[in-house]
Amino acid sequence: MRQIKSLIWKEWLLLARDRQATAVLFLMPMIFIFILSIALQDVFSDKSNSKVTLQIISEKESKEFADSLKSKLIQMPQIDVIDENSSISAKARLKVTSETAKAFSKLSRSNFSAAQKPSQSMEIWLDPTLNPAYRWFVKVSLSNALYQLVLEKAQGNKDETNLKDPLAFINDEGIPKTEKMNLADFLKEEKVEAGRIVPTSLQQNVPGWSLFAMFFIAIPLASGILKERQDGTIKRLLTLPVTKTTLILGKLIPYVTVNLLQFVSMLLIGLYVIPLCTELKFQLGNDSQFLIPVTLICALTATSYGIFISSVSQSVEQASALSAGLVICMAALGGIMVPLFAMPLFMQEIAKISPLYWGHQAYLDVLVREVPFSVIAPKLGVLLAFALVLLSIGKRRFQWL
Amino acid sequence: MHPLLKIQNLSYQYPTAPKKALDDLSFEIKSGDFIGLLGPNGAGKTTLLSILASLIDPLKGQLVLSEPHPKSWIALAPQEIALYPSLTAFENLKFFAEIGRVESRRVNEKVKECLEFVGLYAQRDMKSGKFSGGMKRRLNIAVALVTSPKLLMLDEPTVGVDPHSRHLILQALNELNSRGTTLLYSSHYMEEVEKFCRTLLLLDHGKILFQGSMNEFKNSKQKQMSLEEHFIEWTGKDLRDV
Repeated sequence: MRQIKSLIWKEWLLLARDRQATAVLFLMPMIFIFILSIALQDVFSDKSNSKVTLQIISEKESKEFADSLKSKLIQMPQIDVIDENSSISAKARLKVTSETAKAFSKLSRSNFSAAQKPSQSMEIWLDPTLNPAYRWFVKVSLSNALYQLVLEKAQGNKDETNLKDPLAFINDEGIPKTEKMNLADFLKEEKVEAGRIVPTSLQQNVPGWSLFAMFFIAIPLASGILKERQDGTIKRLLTLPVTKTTLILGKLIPYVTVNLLQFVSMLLIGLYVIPLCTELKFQLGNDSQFLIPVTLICALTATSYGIFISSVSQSVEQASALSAGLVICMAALGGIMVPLFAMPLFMQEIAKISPLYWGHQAYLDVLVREVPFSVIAPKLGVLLAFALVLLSIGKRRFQWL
Repeated sequence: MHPLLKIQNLSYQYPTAPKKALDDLSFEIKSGDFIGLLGPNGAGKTTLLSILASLIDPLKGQLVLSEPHPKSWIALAPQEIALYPSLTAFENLKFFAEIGRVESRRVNEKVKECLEFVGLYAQRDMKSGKFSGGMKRRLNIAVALVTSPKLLMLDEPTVGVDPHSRHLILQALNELNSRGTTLLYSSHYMEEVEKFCRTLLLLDHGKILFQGSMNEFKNSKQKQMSLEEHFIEWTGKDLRDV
């Protein structure tokens, strides 16, 4: 224990006195978060051309209504309606219950002559990381589909009293309505709490660039190991009564701790500093305690990556270039530099080969999606698998002398 | 002098090397001796020191130790300056003392003693990276001493050192030996070996060419020859560019 304490203290001193490493590990992500959160504000509020995957979940009694709604939605160019049993994770989900179908049927029978609100609403779930423009688009598309069904019913009933002026059917948000009834009332967004902040570029960038910086730990970690090998200090340590496991733990523990510190400082900057200078808001989510296992596993993966780099590099220069280069590629691929939703679908699939993708998604699960831990756990499992593979390659290839 | 350790039929070959680095070596190190380890480049000196320091395991043969746990009583001052440049002299020594399991309450005292021994106590708070070559070499030796080893092995400890530091190092080693520490001293500087070592071990191509006292070595060829001339006679005049 005393030996591990000494090894940890030594690493701390070495890191604290390495100004360049400290700047890379702490200053760089702060600057990135600050600049990119402001720079990407529009990306998060703007729309792009890719499709939103929508899943319609129905019951036996509501299937007919769901199918007619689906037939309308399929015609919308930016909506990709996926099968109810599809394994693709949908960005939007619409729940059509038998009660909703009955309510809609009752509404259309009333010939839209009286001001009324539907007794039942359809629940839409929208991925909180979804671009606000898409969120709006999904709602408009659904309302449009409903409107078309209403129109068909009205034409079938020869009742066009409320459908004279097309402009009268569009409300301020661009959602179609009849004269007396807002079809948007028929849609109810799930889990929208009062005062809840719609995800901003800051929500994407704080975990994103923190992760990026955490993986940058590989530079001082791998360089440090290689320096120790080159200058003979590892050799000297091996002549002393200390086990190799203690030496490895003495490396891993301080760097995992640095990773935790990095994340906490970036979190504090996101929470308290950036909102002072911009209009961006950052929130921790309802289950912020999940950040602990997520950060620990991300830190373990990042340090394992450092050990891996030290085992495949021959010199300090090679280790620095390789670790930085690979982290940049993994970040670009994993949705850190470019938000995942802005990538084409095939790129979103390729992103999964990057450990940063899994770390980032796990963070977004906690900070933005507020999902139960059972949803986050598989992502952490993938990250742990990355860590184990990197560590075992590192262990196999590591040259002590 | 009782034997501190015996080396019996020791052989070693590096995985990618065509020849053995050490080939059937047998000798013993007596307690309190000051042994000069000589040999041209590639003779096997560093490999031998690495085996004795438990860094590598011999392929064949064995070490018979007078005491168990060799890492607690055998120390190596490697050829490289094996120090952390951004740590101070004191921090370097303290760190290695703690890893070397020096008793907690004795660490500071031991560190101070070692720094004084190599004349660096006044510079204890200076980062070792700022030291001159000679100071680094002295600190390198001090680190090896901090665990109070019974056998101290030094791999070319005076390479690139200024005359003052060299003098201090050699005087310090002599004093250490007179206090009872056994020294195995590998060097290319014949005058140092001649002046301080009592016993000589000459290696070449992984084999022992000569082992015995300094006087025996000096009388082994022609009496009027210098130590260096004897060395050349024993090992040949071919250049050893390893």
